[in-house]
Parts: sequence; structure tokens; C-alpha cells
Amino acid sequence: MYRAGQQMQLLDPKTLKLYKEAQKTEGLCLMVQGSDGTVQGEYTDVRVHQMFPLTRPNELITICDKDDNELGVIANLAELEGESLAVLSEELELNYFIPKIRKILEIKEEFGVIRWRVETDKGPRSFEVRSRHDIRSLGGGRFIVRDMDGNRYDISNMSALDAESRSLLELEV
Amino acid sequence: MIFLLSGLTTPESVQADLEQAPETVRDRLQMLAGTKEVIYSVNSDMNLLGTYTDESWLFITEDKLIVFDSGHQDGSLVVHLNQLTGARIRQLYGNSVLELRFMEDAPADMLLQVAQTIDEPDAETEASADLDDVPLTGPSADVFRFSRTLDDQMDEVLQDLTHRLIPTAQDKEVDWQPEADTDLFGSNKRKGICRSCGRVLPPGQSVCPRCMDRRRLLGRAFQYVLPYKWLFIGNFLSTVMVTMLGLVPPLFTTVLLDRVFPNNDMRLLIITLVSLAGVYFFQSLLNSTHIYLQQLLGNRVVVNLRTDVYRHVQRLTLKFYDKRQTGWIMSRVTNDTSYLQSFLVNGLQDIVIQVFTLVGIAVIMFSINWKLALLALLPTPIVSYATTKFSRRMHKVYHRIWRRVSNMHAVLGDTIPGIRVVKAFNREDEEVAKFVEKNEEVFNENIRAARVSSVFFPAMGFTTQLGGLLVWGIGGYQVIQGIGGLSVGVLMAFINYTWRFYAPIQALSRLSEQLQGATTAAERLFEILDTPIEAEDEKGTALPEIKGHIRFEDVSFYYEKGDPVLQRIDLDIQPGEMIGLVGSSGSGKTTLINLIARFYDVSEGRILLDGHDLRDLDLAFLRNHIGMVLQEPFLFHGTIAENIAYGRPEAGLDEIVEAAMMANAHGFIMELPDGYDTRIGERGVGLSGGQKQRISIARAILKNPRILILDEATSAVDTETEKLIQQAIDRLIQGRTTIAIAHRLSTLQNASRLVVLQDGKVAEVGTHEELLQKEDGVFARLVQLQSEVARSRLV
Ligand SMILES: Nc1ncnc2c1ncn2[C@@H]1O[C@H](COP(=O)(O)OP(=O)(O)OP(=O)(O)O)[C@@H](O)[C@H]1O
Ligand SMILES: [Mg+2]
Repeated sequence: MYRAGQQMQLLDPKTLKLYKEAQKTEGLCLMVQGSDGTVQGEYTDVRVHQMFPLTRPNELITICDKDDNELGVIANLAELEGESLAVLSEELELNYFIPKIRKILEIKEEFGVIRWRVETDKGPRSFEVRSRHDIRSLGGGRFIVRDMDGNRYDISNMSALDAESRSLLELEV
Repeated sequence: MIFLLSGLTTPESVQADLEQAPETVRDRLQMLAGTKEVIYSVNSDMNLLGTYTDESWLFITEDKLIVFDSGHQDGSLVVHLNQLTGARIRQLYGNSVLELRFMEDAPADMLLQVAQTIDEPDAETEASADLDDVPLTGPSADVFRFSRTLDDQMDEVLQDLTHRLIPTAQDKEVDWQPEADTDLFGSNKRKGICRSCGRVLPPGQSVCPRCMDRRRLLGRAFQYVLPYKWLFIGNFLSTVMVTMLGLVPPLFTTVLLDRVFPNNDMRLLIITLVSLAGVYFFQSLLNSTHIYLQQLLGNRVVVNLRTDVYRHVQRLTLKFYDKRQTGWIMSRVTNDTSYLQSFLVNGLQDIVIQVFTLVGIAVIMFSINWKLALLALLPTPIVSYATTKFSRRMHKVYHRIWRRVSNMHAVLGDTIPGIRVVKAFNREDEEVAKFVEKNEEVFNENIRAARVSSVFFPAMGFTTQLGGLLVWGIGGYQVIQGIGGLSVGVLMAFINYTWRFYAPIQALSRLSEQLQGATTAAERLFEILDTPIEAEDEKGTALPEIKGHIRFEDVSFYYEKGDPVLQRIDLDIQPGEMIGLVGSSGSGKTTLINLIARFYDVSEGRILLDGHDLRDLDLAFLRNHIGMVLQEPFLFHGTIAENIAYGRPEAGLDEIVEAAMMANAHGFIMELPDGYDTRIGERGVGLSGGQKQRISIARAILKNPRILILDEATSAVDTETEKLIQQAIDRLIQGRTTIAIAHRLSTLQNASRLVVLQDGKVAEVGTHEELLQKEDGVFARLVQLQSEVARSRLV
């Protein structure tokens, strides 16, 4: 949680070590080291959140301790290395699940419900969309589709889709 | 897929559901579950790796929890329930995981197996409400992952599971009874499934539109025409007659060419022309009747349809409005109704006209010369095929145009109301650029359409003209050679009919698209008309009088499932009491009062008014007794007097003025040149924020309600005016139950009790003094902060 008046505190990626315990009782752990290698702080059960999960998923990632106090911000995921990078990416992937639509096989409006059949980076999927307002344009050919259950799907770039998908999508947006 | 065995569902139905699981899954389950009955079975839509699949299963038997998932070692996980101390669902964005917590001394092999799961457990110190007493120190693991589609099912499973775990964990017998199971399959399901075809239902709808076939849909739409059946029949007959008469003139051409001119028969010429004039006259007469009747009928129907839709829209729940944009609803009321009307009235008649014309022409042509008729109609299949194809294509193109145009409208709808912000931030050029972009898209789409039509229509024209030339050629040859007794006049009539034949062919080929458009419009309209309105099914009771005793019993509420805004509120408000509601922005104050007026219904628990559940009361009755000043004052177009009297239009002028005086609005109203007759512009433009607030206070006062709700009613007025309004309110609250929300705590000085909300929970309740006494109380801190701010302002 953000405390009123708090300023954004960027963390030096070199001093950070993110890891998980083998026994998995502690969740994601963070160790902060000083420049001389001494341990300056250890936190268990930390939470991570992307500030711009849609537009800049790899930048500005906040780390909170288990009581939701903001410990600081990682400017860019790419600055991390090794295990830290791996566990953080994995945690973010779990935290924020929004499959990317690679191909649209069918969009069919039937009786007030729009049915989509797509291929995503997570596999094939069909879902129902309530209305065209659930397709939100982020500009630059990017769209976020929200289905009737609240799941969301990402069309990163309309013009990068194949012609058939594109012509199906064009009818909707 | 989910089923509940214990108690309610019969074993047969479970058996039937298990049938749907693939055989391999059932076999594996049999091996692991043994003889124990499967109580729950859930088929997830993704595996632990986050890949969509239908191969992940969760089963709960009397003593085990079994998961099939490729993320587990060997693809499965078996846990004895007595090894578990807790379970919870962690809701993440777009997906959730079921997290299990094991006993400290769980067998090592179990932990090993669990450690193989790819996902990171996120141990949590704060337990979910059900698990408060359970020690949460053991290792934990995510064992099952699912998208939001399965939220409802998994909530149910978790509830059951925790009930099963608690006795084991605490090592004592709890006589566990399944919860009211009807509730488990509760009404909170996000989407309904049609009973007969298993399809997902459109939002808020209980009838599957598919099972309600198209004919019935249009039949239902036709109900709107029925009250005017004589008008319809009259219109229909005039149409048929106009069409028939239209087929006559070419026959006169034959007479002219074959009998009048060859014989220089002046008398016949005059007779023919006079008859022709007669035909034209009747045709015009009938046509004008037809046009008038059609308009009359069409407008009657659309007016009724629109009124019905609007009446329904007025009664829809706020939940419905939260989900849709204003523009969408407006477009249903205006566009779809017109579309449907034009189909019902013009479209249907058109079909009849076209069919009559076609049949009429064909009969005439074949009776004159069937060989030539065949020849003339040779291009028919080509034309009708091409038109069908073309209109399908155009349907899409037009749809795209329509989408682009509404995108352009969206830009307008966004910026015009926000024009002040646009100007304040100097963004005019950017807004224009945004509009130009959308406008260009409309242009591009239109040009695309033009390209298709520019090829199609000339091509079709050429085809039919070729057909015509063919008739000219062969017919001309026959006339010259004198074969088959074909005369010039007959040939001319023939050619004439040939031209006329293709228009109806093309029209009919477009029919299926038209039908589709009309059914879509009908669907959208009936979707609205079928959406349940507020408190529809219940004819609530109206009490003889209201004392104003409001009681919240364990009330929880969420706008979006999984995101509770109010949690377990217990509150008892005595009749005549004034409650001050305070709390930081977003803590749920407005939401709480929305529940009292039943703008939304509680998600859990209940609210009682004088001992009656709000949901049992008549909605109109309830709202009649509540006076509300909303946080965002809204004034309608109209005079100030009309706005004040909005809730009681029959109020006398003196009452209106008195209410305005009490609200301390009289002064500024009298300074306006037109006084109470001053017209208020769009959204109250022309009045200041504080003035608008005072008018809405007057509006609430005039209603003389038993329950008064003030949401930041004086936030936009100066301290002086506030004091005056404060006095007015003090007079006003005598004998009324009042709930007032204010950020400025001084406003609430006279409150009998204060309720402090924090994160959707009641943090503190008490009188001003009591709360101030509390050392580290939320309220005490707020007061201190505000006085500090006040001091620093003075300095
Ligand atoms: N129509 C809505 N749909 C979804 N969420 C909503 C809706 N209205 C409010 N919320 C959310 O509910 C929470 C409580 O809102 P509410 O308006 O009750 O706050 P409040 O206490 O009145 O705040 P304020 O003092 O700023 O008026 C907020 O987090 C808000 O985002
Ligand atoms: Mg509010």
C-alpha cells in the first residue's frame, strides 16, 4: 500500500536478490544487500505489482512487504539477473494473466452474445463477449477484450494479425 | 461442470455428470478415490502452467482431494483432507489459484510432491474469515489454477472444503450441515445457461433467444402492428393494387404499336390514351393512399415501440446502467426501434410487392410468348446469385461503416461534454486530430464500399442489358421474318417487362440480409425488454406509516464479484436519529446509502426498515419516504421551480418557496432576473456548484421524507452559507431519521452518533465526544488533522 506523501523509491537492482525457499513456506522472498555484500534487509512473502501491466509490463514494478508497505520500485525487469529474474517473471505471469490473441478463428454475434473462437499464446480458447463495448481500444491497433466472466485477452497489434483475423476484428471495432 | 452430492443431488445425477468426463479421467479417478463417493468435481480451463486445457480436474471425495494437472508430478496430486489445515483461493488478475496449507508434520513425500508444483505459494498471515482459528504455519502450495470463468464454482467448492477442514484441523467434531444449498447455486452467477440448449444466455436474460426462433422473434415484433390491423390491411390492399396497376401500361403499348399506328386509328388512339390516363389516375390515387397509410402505420408502431422500450429502460436497475454506456441505451431507443419499424411496415410490404410484381410479369410474359420469355429471363440466376453474394458482402461493409461512424460519435460524446477541460488544458488541437483520425476512417470505409458498389451495379446493369439485347435480337429477327406472329408492339411490351423484372429479383436477393438486420434489431430490443426491471416479480408491501428505524444486519456488498466494497456492516439507526457518516474517500459511504434507497441490493445480509426487509417493501413506497441529496447534484432542463418540485410536482408555490428558504437558496434565486422561473441550462450550467447543491437540498426538503440522506450536501458552499444550511438542516431533521455524509467534520456536530467507515468496514461508532476520547481512534485522528489544516490556513 502506498502511504500518503511517500515518494517513489527506485531500488538498485544490483542490491536485490529475489528467491524462493525450497519448502515454500515463505512465498517470494527478497534480500537487500549493501554495496559491500552485507545483508541490509530480508523480507519474506513479498508482493509484486506492475504499475502499467498492459502498456509497460516490464517496467516500474513495485515490491511490497507482507503487510503491503511499499518497499520500493524496480525500474526495469531486464536489470535483474539469474534467479531473481526468473522468479519475478514467473510471479508476474501468475499475478497478471492476460493471454495474447494470436489468431481469430471466428467472431459470431448470435442473439445478443458475441462468441469468439481464438488461438492465444496460452492455447485455443472460446469465450463470450457481452457487447462491443467490452473491446477496448488502447490505440495503435491494440485491443483488450473482456469476456462475460471478466477474463481479459490482449490483441497486441491488429495489423500484425493475419488477414482473416483482421477482417473479422474489423467488424467489431 | 460441478455437482454436489451430499444431501441434495441424487447419486444418479452425479453419475450422469461424471459421464461427461473422459473415460481415462474416470478410470484414474476410480483408482485414486477408491470406493469413496466423489462430492465435487471441477474441470478447469487451464493448467498450473497457465496453458488452456480441459485436462485439469479437481475432485473432492469424503476423505481426499485429488487434482489431475500436468503441472503436478506424474500429472496428479492426492491429498488426504486430514493433512490439510486450510485452503483458500487467491484471486489474481484474470486467474485464481487454489492454495492448500498442510500440517507442519505432513509426510515428507507429500511435501516433496507439492514442491514440484511450478507455482509459487504465497503464504499469507491473514487468514480468510472462515479460517480465523486455524494455525497457518505449515507449508502451502498452489494446487489448482483456473480462470474467472470458474470463480463461482470454485467459491462453492472452497466453502464446502473449509467446512470439511475445520473439524479436522481443530481436532473436534463439528456437526457440519451443508449450507442452504439452494443458495450455493445462487443467483450471483455471472452468466446463465439455457436449459434446453446449454448455450450461454445474453446478460440478464432468462430466455435463450436461440430457442426462441426467428419467426417467433419477428412474430413478437409483429404484435406491435396488430392493434392497427385494419390500417395494415388497408395499406396492404392499396399496395397490391398499385402494383397490379403498374403492370398494365405496357399492354397499352402493344395496342398502340400493333393496332393504332399500323391502321392510323385515331379513335382507338384516343380511347387508349384516355384509358391509360384512367389507369395512371387510379394508380396515383391508390399510391397516395398507400403512402399516407404506410406513414401513419409506421409512425404509430415506432412510437409505441419506443415508448415501451423507454418505459422499461426507466425501470432498469442501476447495475444495468453501470455496465452500459448511455449512448448504447439511447441508440436502442432511437435507432433500433426505427429499424424494426421500417422492416415491419415497409420491409414486409416490399416483399409482397416484389413477389406480386415478379409473378405478375412472369405470367404475362409467358402467356404472350413463352420461348421469348425463357430467353429474356436467362440472366435471372446470374443476377440473383450475384446479388445475394454482393449483399452479403455489402452487409459487412456497411456494418464496418456503421462501426466507424459510431467510433466517431464516441469522440464527440466524450469531448463535447468535457469541453471545459479541453480548453483548460489547451488540448483543442489534439482533440481535433483525434476526430480527424476517426473521420478519415469513416471516409476510408465509405470509399471501400463505393469501390464494391461501383463495380457491382454497372456489372449487373450490363448483364441485364445484355439480356435485353438478346430479346431485341431474337425478337427483332422473329418480327422481321414474321415467325410466330410476333408483332412490334408485343416485342416492345416484352422488352419493357424484361427491364422491370430484374428490380424485384435484386430486391428479393437482398431479403435475407434485411431479415437478418431486422432480427438483430429485434433481438437487441427484446433483450432490453426482457431484462428484469427493479423489483419486478415482487409486489412489495407498503406500510401504513414509517417510523424510520433502519437496521443493517451483517451486510456485505460488492459491485464486482470478488471485490467487496462493504463488509459485514452491522448498524442500528433509531427513528429520528441523525447519523454522521465519515471515512476517507472511497471507503464506501455513498455505497452504503445507495443500499438504503435500494439503488443496489445487498449481496449478503439484510437491511431492515421498521423490522421489514427492504426487499419485501414496495420500491415506490420506500423511495417516496426517502429524501436524497446526491453527491453530484443533477438538475434537469427546466425552471428552478420545476427542479425543486421534481419529487412533488403538485406542491404549491408557497411550499416551493418555503423549501428554498429552508435550503437557503431563496436569496440567490431572487437575484436572478426570472426568479423561480429561471430556466436552467444543460446540467445546470449557469448556476454555481453551491447553488446547485442548495437547489437539490430544497428538492429533498419539499418531499418531506421520513428518512433524509445527505451525501456531501454542503461540500461546495462557503462556511457562512454552510452554517445557514446547517441551521436549516437542524430544523429539518426534527423527527426524521437522517444520515449525513460529510468530509468537513464540523458539519456533523449535531449528529447523535457518528459512524466511521474504513475500507468498507465500520471502524468506530459513537457520539462525537466518545470518539474523541479514543486515544488512537480513526475519528480522533481525523479531527486533529482537520484542525491542524484549519490552523495552518489561518496562519
Ligand atoms: N458503480 C460502481 N461500480 C463499481 N465500483 C464502484 C461503483 N461506485 C463506487 N465503486 C467503488 O466502491 C468504492 C466505494 O465507493 P463510494 O462511492 O461508496 O465511496 P465514498 O466513501 O462515497 O467516497 P467519497 O468520499 O470519495 O465520495 C470505491 O472503491 C469505488 O471505486
Ligand atoms: Mg461518496
